[in-house]
Order: sequence, then structure tokens, then C-alpha cells
Amino acid sequence: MRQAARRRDPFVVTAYSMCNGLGRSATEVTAKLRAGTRGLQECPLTVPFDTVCGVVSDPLPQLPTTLREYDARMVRLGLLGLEGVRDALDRAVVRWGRDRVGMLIGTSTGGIAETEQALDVWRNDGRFPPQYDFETQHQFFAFTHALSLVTGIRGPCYVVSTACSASAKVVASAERLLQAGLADAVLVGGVDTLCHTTIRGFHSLGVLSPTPCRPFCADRQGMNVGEGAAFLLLERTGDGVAVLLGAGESSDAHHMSAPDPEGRGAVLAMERALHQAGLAAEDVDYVNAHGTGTKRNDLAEAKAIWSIFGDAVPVVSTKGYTGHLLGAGGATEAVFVLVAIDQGWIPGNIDVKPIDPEIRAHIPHASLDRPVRVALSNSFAFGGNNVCLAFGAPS
Amino acid sequence: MIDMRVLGVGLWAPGFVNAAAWLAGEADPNAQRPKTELVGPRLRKGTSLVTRMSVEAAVQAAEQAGLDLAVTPIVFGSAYGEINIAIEQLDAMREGEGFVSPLRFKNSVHNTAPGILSIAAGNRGMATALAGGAHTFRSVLIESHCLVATGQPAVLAIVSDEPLPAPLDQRCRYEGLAVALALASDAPAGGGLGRLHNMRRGAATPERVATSRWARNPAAASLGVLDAVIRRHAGTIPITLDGDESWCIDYVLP
Repeated sequence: MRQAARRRDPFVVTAYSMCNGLGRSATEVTAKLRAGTRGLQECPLTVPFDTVCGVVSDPLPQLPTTLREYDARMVRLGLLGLEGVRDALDRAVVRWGRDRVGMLIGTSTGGIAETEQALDVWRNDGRFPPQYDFETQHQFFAFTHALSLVTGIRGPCYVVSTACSASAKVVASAERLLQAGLADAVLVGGVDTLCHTTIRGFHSLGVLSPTPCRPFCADRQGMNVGEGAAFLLLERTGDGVAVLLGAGESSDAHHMSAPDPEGRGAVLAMERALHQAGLAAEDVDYVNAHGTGTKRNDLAEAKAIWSIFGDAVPVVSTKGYTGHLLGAGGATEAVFVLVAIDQGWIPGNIDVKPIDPEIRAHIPHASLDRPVRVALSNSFAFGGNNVCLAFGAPS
Repeated sequence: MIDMRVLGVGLWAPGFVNAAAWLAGEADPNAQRPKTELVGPRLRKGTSLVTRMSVEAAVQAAEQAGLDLAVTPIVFGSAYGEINIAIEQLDAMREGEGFVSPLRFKNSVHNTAPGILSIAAGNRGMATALAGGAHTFRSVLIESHCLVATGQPAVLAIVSDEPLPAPLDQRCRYEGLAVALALASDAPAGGGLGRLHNMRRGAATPERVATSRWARNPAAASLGVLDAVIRRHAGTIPITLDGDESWCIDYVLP
């Protein structure tokens, strides 16, 4: 059944960028994705179990000397990720004025990796290392504040931290900022670094795979953690690769760390995105799934997708290539959707055979060359926090 | 232009179980941990002070506003979030074989408070968790305004921070605090508890915050608004603490 007519203006994605275990730029990442290559390697942190991770290769850019107090791996990853949108962002600041450009960043870890190292020193020496500063390196807003100083953005700037949906949530928040007239352009993105907290934490839940993850596969053993950054520049008007058609948000109201097995929250998020976009299920050409590779997530999500789309739409998890980028995952997978729309191909689910027989959705095992007019990207998180973003080709 | 009606308020802080107790300034030494009756014991297990205070404050604001917790969007803001659980986890990693507790880990995310609240209330609506340093309360007001400006009838806005754990507290110590505001684009018959509008850069004088036990708690940026609303005292209110730049908002009576 066709949904209600679109009630909001679609905003334009005028630039995007990313870095993760697949590469240091959108071009590198996309080439590896197209080639079906994984970006996973042995975990560089010393942990008491086996796992693999997505790691961004060095060297990373440095902050200007005047901002050295903000130096942290998270900031350096962010600066690398930002390179691909920097020119477009500078143009937007000139075009709209820096008070009319906002910045919303998603992260799950903030700068806790710096505190992990600093606390080790404190426990041994009774004092923190001289270069460590909790306020400018750990707390959630430090990175965003540093980036606002680097870019000159003076519109609304804040962090969304809803665990693994965080950098999809920022897209929904940015849409509202634009819709409400509080900004004319918003840089949205996500950044997360590898750290002991998340890798050991997911291991404690029994959901970390010792080998490269295989979302939707019958033999999947769980997820891998990755690090990375991704950014999208949303503008009120302009020439862009795609438009943001809608964003749906929901809560499972079920459990802090396990998805509703019936996928009811996921269904609500997708239905709300379609409703806001004025789309019907048959308008959608591609769904980028949250697809972590855990038994529970993949079953619940596939059930939710099936209930809306049947087996008519290709459903792909890109986490087999990058690992789960946690707070950077939503923005990264939004960029993968933009690439599909922009370049007319859909990646395949890597190493997915044999597909879980309980999963009835259409799970392609190889890339598909076809026009993509409308695509969705799902992001789900602890707290039962769900987001679905709908992007479309520019008209 | 930010413009919202205030429909209800809530507060929970150690010693102060609601906004009236805080306004009276009489601390109850027995009130050190919220009861959080909305949340069942199994769900409540392992939750932090910041989460429990947030739930208490949100319940108070929703009750005063007559809002249904099962359908109202939740906008939670905290500068440091679940920082005590985060440091407990790092301590645990140094013990034994270096494993962490799954109970701690699932409650360690920044959106634990809205997550717990949504589960306890059966709310399948939108919930989010923000951080903006000294500008966290301002960020929560912006997000809340955008929600009501784009069609949500009302929003529960919550700010909360708990004391920093040692040794991160060496330069900054304060007591825990949670404040909640029930906000809407409009109120029945234009009523409610007043209107917040015209958010802008600029300093304003806080009346009761600067010397209080929460002076350095990022959530205390909301106390000026809370004080004005409770006392029906119209004026220009500061909404940031100790940041690089000050912001304020006007509070006008119904």
C-alpha cells in the first residue's frame, strides 16, 4: 500500500567521505568493497581471546599545534575521514555563513581509548601522563569541539551517543535541524576507535567472533569490531549525489543489549522512514542491513525486513568487510548506500554461504550491477535504539 | 528560533528528591539513591546513579505535564554519561584474566538512561542521548525544539551527570544531579508553566547555581531554567556553564 505523500523537504547530500579498515578514503574503501575484499586483520590490542578487527592504517593527520591538547586517536581518525568533504564543507561555510552550518557527530566510545592508556600509567606511577587531559581527550564533546575549531563551524554542534546507532541518529537530528530552520547545512558523521572497553565488552556478551564475521550465514559466530570515520554534508539545496528522503527512529522497549526477537522496533523504524519519505516498500531497491553477524541480530532483523519487503529487495550487511564500526557504523553504511545510488551497484554479502535457512530475505552473495533509486540503511543499538535512513537519487 | 512551552519539571539529586525539596534547600541525608520504582528490580540491577536519577526526574516531569511515558520521545543529555561504570570496567580488566562483566557492559553506553526508561515504560518511540560538554543542556533544548517543531506533540528533555570517579575527579568535583523538563510546541489553551524562547549567545546572571554543590556539574546549566519556572520568575536565563562562550534563553510567563 502506498504511504502518505511526502510531508517534508528532502535535503541534499553534497559530499561524503570515510576511512576504515578497507582504506583511508572513500575511493579506496569503495574499490575494496567493489572487489569483495575484507578489511579485517588480527586485533592490534592485547586481549585474552582471539578476534579480528577493522584497523585504519597509519599515518594519521595531526591537529594544528594550537589544538594539541585535543590530540587523541579519535581526533586523528576524524581528521583523516574529514579530508574527503573538507572542500565542500569550506564552500558551505562560505555559502551559508558559519553560524548557519552545524555539526552533529555520533560516537559510542568517545576518547576512552586515551583514558585506558592513561589509567595504566596512573596505576603504576600515581599520576597521569603529562599529555593526557580527560576534558579535551576523553569526554564525548571534545572531538566535536576540536573539529568545530578546525573547520570554523559555529552553528549547532553536539554529539549523539546512542551506541551503535549514533551516527545514523545524527542524520535524523540534522534533518530536523534543517527542517526547523536552525541551520542551512549540517556536517554529520561518526567516529570510533578500537579500544579494550568495547572489544572485551562484546566478548563478555559472547557475541565476538574469533574469525572474520559472516552476517546472515548459517555458520556465523558473531561480530568483529572495527574503527573508522565517515561524514556526510547535508545542505538545504545544491547539487549532490543523493537526497535524504526520510529517517525513522524507534525503540525496542525490550532489553538493553538483546534485540526484540520479533524485530518489532526494527519494523517501526523502517516503516517510519518510508512514511516520512512518502515511499512504499516496492519503491526500495536496496537495504543495507545492520547485520552484525550475531545470531540474534541477524534473525530478528531479517524477520523485520521480510515482513515489509518479502524477498523482493537485496539485503546486504557490509560489516563483513569493515567489522562493526559501532558509533561510526551508521554514517559509514549511509555512505555505502550513497555509493550504491551514485555508482549503480550493490555489494554482495561476503562469505555468506550457506545462508541461514531461517532467513527468508533476499541475501545476495555477489555484487549486483543495477540502478539504485532508493535505498535504506538500518542501524540498531543497545537500549533497543533503532534508526532507518532512506536516501534517494537526486531528481 | 527556539520556542517551546514548559509543561512539567522534575529533579532528583542526592538529598533532594524533587524540585520542591531543592527549592526549599533542605537536604534529606537519607535520600542518597533513587528508588526508581518505574523500573523493575531485574532491569534496575547494575544501573548507575546517573540513570536512576534521570528516570526519577523524567517520571516527575511527565506526571506534572500529564504526558504518557509510553509514547513521549526522550531527549537525554549528559556530558560524561556512564563514566563510573566505564572506569569500573577498566579496573576489572586489570583483574584476573582481564574479562569484564556483561551486566556492566550493557549498562555502560551513553544511552543507558533513555534505554532503561523506554524499556520500563514500554515506549517504542524515539529516544536519543546527547553530549555537548558545557553546552549539553543547550544541545538538549535544540534537539527538543527540533522534535516539537517537526510534529512531535511533546518531548521529555533530561540532563544528568553523576560525580566523576577517582582519579578523574582531581580537577573537577561536584554532586550528582538530574533535571527533566516536559516541553511542547504549545500548551492546552496556551497554559503550561511558561515559555522558553529566543536562545542566543550572551551572558546572564545565574541566581542560585554558581555557589551551589552542583556548580561544576554540567547538568547544573539547567538549574536557572528550573528555578525560573518553579518561581514563575520571568527573565533571561543562562543555559551554559563555564564554556568558551555563554548562551542564554528568555523565560516568559504563561
